[in-house]
Amino acid sequence: MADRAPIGSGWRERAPAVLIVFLLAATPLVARALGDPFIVKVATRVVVFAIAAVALNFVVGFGGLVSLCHAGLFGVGGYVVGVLAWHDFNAEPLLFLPGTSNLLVSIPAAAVVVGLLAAIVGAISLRTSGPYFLMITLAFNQMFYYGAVALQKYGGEDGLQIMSNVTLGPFDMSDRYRFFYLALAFLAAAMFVLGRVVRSRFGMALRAASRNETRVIAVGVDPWRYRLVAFVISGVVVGIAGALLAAGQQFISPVDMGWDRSGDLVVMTVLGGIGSVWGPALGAAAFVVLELVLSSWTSHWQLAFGLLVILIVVGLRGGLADLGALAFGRRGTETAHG
Amino acid sequence: MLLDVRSLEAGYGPSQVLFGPSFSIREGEVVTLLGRNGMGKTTTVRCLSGLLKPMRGEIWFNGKRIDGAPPHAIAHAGLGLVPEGRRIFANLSVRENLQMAGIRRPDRRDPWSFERVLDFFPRLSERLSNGGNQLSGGEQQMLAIGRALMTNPHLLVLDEATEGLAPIIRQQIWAKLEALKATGLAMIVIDKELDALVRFADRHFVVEKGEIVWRGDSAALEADQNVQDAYLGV
Repeated sequence: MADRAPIGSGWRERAPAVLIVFLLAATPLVARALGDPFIVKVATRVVVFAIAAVALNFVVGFGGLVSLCHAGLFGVGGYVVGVLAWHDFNAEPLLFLPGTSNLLVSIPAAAVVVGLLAAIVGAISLRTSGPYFLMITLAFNQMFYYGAVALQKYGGEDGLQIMSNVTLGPFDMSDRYRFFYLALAFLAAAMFVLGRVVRSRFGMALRAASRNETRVIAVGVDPWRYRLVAFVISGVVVGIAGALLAAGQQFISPVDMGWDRSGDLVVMTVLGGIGSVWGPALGAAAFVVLELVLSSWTSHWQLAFGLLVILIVVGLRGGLADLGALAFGRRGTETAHG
Repeated sequence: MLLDVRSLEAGYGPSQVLFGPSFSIREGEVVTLLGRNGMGKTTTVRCLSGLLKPMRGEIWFNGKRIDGAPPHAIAHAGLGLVPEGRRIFANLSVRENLQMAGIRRPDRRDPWSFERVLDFFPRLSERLSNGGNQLSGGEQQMLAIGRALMTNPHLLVLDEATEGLAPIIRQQIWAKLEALKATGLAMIVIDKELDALVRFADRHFVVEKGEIVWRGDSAALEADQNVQDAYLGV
């Protein structure tokens, strides 16, 4: 892969992310004008997968670690919300804790659980690199997948329906529009926070280690520790995305966490562009919308989709983000000045 | 004694490269490792910086035993390395290449900071937002040295610091290293340019087949035509 340009700083670098959030924020208005609430449902799915792709790219694009367990972590986040809601609905305590359908509790719970799992997965898999790292993260993904299938009490293979009304503190979140803006707030926060981290000294060392391990060690950095922290941060964010998926569609199933879903997340990331924090959000949008449009035309939609992905990745070396960067007056493969 | 290497033995797999060289360096002293390619200079450097675990022998640095310690811990102990080969992070800007490396040492008078490194290498301050891959060879080398200085080392190890650079750029690098020596920084230098080394360094160790076969100061090295012919001839 060609050398990517260093991450610039300032407004120019953040402008595309802000634009993405503003454009997405306008979709409910479009849906209202057209009288088509389905658009909001699609936009919510775009936002949820955008969060997941941005989270994955934190380790892929900046850490040089292609993880294939992120769909698993994503699904676990969803199951935390689903299981807590199940115990709330059935008024049955989970061990000694009461269940809840309040996202103020269940989203942080999902973040903590997935963060811990990511720490375990990372601590083990980051001992390896290259194809071995791929294999181990893939194995973990399948453990999570079959773990979810084995949860007979919570629907097993059929998945888990959320029967209770999901709330956020006092607010009823079954309102589709309200929920969309909640998810969008998380996307904006994820891009902002991860953008800050990427530009921090931690992010510099992480990016440097992805290029040459020996040389970062020579300046006193232990790459393993940096990668582990990055992996946990990425896991927490992807877990939140999974929690939002489950809460938004009132359903989570093992299908959402198969290894092919992990592959989809990697495709979204690369399609959008791994050189920027916001690029993968574009990739997720393109993926979700294309999947929807193409699959309505033909059941062989993946053939057309594959061709499109090849065209974009070959034609735009920085992914869809290159288009965005063009719009802002510079190519992503060149270097910012000032 | 700043660095004390005792009977170092090391190698790669079954093939041993170092057969017990011993040498030491005092505070503020500049020494060289001389010898032809494949004689064990870089292997010695890899042992010092912790990238290679010695099979036998001891390495003492600043009163602590460091052989076998993890390399990042050795860097924290104050051993700064400018490795050979392409030396910069191409995916980071010049600014980031320097800032990622900061190690602060509270005990240090007049520590190296981002600003001080830029004062020392004014060329770099003109190129702060450039990518590392947009620098000339000389600028890349300045950046690599600057990054090592950001760790505020007690001892700087330079492996082939002027290799592949144009003569005029080499002169500039030597001048900078002279200036560093004047600050009292101890250095181990590996290089092919014998003339410059004789002028710049205090003492020399000639490495041949994993052992030190000659040691002495610059005057002795200049006077000894035999050692130059036998071990350093081109």
